[in-house]
Amino acid sequence: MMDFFTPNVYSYLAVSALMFALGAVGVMTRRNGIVVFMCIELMLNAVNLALITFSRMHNDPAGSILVFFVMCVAAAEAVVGLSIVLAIFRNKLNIDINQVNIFKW
Amino acid sequence: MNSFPFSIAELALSSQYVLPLLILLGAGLLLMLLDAFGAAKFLPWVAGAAFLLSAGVAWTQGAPAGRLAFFGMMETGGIAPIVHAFLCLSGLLTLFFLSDYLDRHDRHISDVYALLVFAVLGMSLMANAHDLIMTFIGLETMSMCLYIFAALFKTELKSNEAGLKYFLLGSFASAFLLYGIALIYGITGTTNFSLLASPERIEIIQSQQTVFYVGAGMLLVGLLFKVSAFPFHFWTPDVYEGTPTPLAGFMATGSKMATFVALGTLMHQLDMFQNTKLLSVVGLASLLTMIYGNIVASRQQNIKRMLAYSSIAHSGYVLLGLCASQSGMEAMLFYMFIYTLMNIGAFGMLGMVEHDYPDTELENWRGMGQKAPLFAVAFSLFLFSLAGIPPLAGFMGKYEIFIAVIREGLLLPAIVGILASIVGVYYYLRVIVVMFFSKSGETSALLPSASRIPLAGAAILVVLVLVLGIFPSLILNPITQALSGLSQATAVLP
Amino acid sequence: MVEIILFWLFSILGIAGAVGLIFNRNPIYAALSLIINFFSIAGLYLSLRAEFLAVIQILVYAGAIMVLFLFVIMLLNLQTEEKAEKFDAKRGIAFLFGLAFAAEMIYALRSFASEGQTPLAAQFDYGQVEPIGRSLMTSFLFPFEMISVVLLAALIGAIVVARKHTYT
Repeated sequence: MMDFFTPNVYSYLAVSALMFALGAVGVMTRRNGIVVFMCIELMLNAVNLALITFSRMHNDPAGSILVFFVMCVAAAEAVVGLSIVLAIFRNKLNIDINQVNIFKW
Repeated sequence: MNSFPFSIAELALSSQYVLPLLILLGAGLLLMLLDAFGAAKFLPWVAGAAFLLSAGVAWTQGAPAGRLAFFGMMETGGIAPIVHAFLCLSGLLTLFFLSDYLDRHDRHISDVYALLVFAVLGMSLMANAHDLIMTFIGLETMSMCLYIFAALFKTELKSNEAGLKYFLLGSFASAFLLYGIALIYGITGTTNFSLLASPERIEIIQSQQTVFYVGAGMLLVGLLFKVSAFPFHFWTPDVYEGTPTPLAGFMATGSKMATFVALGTLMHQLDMFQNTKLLSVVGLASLLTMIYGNIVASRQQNIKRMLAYSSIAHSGYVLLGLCASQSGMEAMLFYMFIYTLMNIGAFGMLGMVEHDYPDTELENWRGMGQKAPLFAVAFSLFLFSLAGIPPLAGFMGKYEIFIAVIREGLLLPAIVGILASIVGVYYYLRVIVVMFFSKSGETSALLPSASRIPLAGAAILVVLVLVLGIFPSLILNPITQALSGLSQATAVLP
Repeated sequence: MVEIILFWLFSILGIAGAVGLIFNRNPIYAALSLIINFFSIAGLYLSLRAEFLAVIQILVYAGAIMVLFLFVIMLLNLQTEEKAEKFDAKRGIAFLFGLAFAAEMIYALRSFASEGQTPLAAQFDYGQVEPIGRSLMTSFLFPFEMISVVLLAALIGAIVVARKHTYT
């Protein structure tokens, strides 16, 4: 009984896969540009969780280093993304990012 | 625990190996400083000099493959110097058209030169990476600059939308790429290409086939997105349309070349994709990309959108070339080099006419052949070359690709590719027909820019396209030479 | 015992945060759900003994990035998204895709179940500051330096794109 509840590598990976899938669904269903971007951040975090789990599994810092780099990249992306959103806001003063057609399918 | 030896001598040697990259890095910083001290009008020249210097240093630095720098992070031998030189060239050629374009649109955005240099740096990092972590960082450096390029004209809604769209979809794709890297790391415990290619790692991979397929598949999704291959192509026309035209040409050439080289390295040098079904997935994607790109391009009424769809089609040809092994890599590099010349030429000359958005509508180009005959002839030359009509360079590129594919025994895909490229001839010819054989409408008073620098750039490109069509070996021989030493030296690590 | 509690608490909280993010129509609530998710992921890092990254996660993600998001959301005064139509094929496809993806991953990754349990044993030192710092300064020196180019490019880009309209 206790065995089922004790987390192993697989349980962490499953949580990470679930979060990644939720993020992907959010990207495809939400229409607000900022929220779509937050869903992408969620996906990156899910990957980070998987990476740390693997890093722990191999007891090797390379995975953790990659997580560190992903965090840097996420910060840079946040800056770029939000500045693009801001530019749209300046342009169409009455902001409605929902109108920006991102997925035409 | 890593137990790499740490010595100053080794660091110095590594820095010497990556000197071309460091030149670009230094040039980027210098450009920012010059801009801050009000020397804005020298910036294109400084950037151009940096590209030339960096390409020159790389070209003279040739070495057998397997010369790794910084603890196996970067490949600096084999094809790496050539790829670096090609990428610098794509940046340099873009510069010819860029500053004139910005001036005519009254947008003197001087930061764009530093970003261009950093974009080339990122591309080179990605293409010549010897570690998945490095591939990721290179890709992000490149993408970050390209997102800005797409959104550069911030007062235009089209550009804003292009930026947002490219940015969101691009980061979505890189999340997939990252998950792929994570899974491959999870199976093997390493991200280094040499270690991934080692026999014991291959054994591990074979015992964990399912996870490996999923991981490599996601890696593939991330890379195919960047080259706008078929299921992930839909962002291309909108993004290119909103991007300043010379920079759209840069996006379509440099970033694709870097991604194709990275993909080719993964597929061939690593043996990761060998004996797997993933190769046939790439092949299928390439066929669909060619067919889709060519058919949709023939229905476009806007030249810029047409060129965007045609760039999708060209990605298809190159992907097909990648499916053929070693000779495919050679054909791919050669094709991407030719494609860089003719596509930057076509986008650049399109930009020379453009003042306002509707200027790229095909309708407005009526009678261009009478108003600006030399210009129209040069533009047609690029279009003929893109269509693959002999004796221009584009024909040689296509020839190399299809020969490599046929030699590999993939006869049917080659036939499909040739048929698709025949469809492609139609829409290139249509533009030429409109320019030369239809009466000039009263409404259009389009005239190309008479500025000297873009004209010089166009002239150089025309000469190159003509010369390489007749003497392809000028470029083909160095590529073959660099690739010949590639196969035996994959599994060495300092 | 501790790891059982940590894992279940934080993974349930984290998934709840993710669900909150994709279903909340108000952007502010969505952002707050994402912060909950980030905190729980930091908790999961702790339960994996990646202490350094757990702290960085809170500092960088929850502390810096999410504040930026909230700031922009409030600056733009974003409205609640309007309710989607009752039946939307796109949404259906998206959810099916997500479901298929999650099922596929959970199926594909099951081979890792044999890796054994993850007690909070002290022999795992990969996540401490020392091994991470050592690797950053040796084998990962070059990517570490190059990541600064990403940040620099983003910085220039933000200035170019978000600055008021001045073309000099």
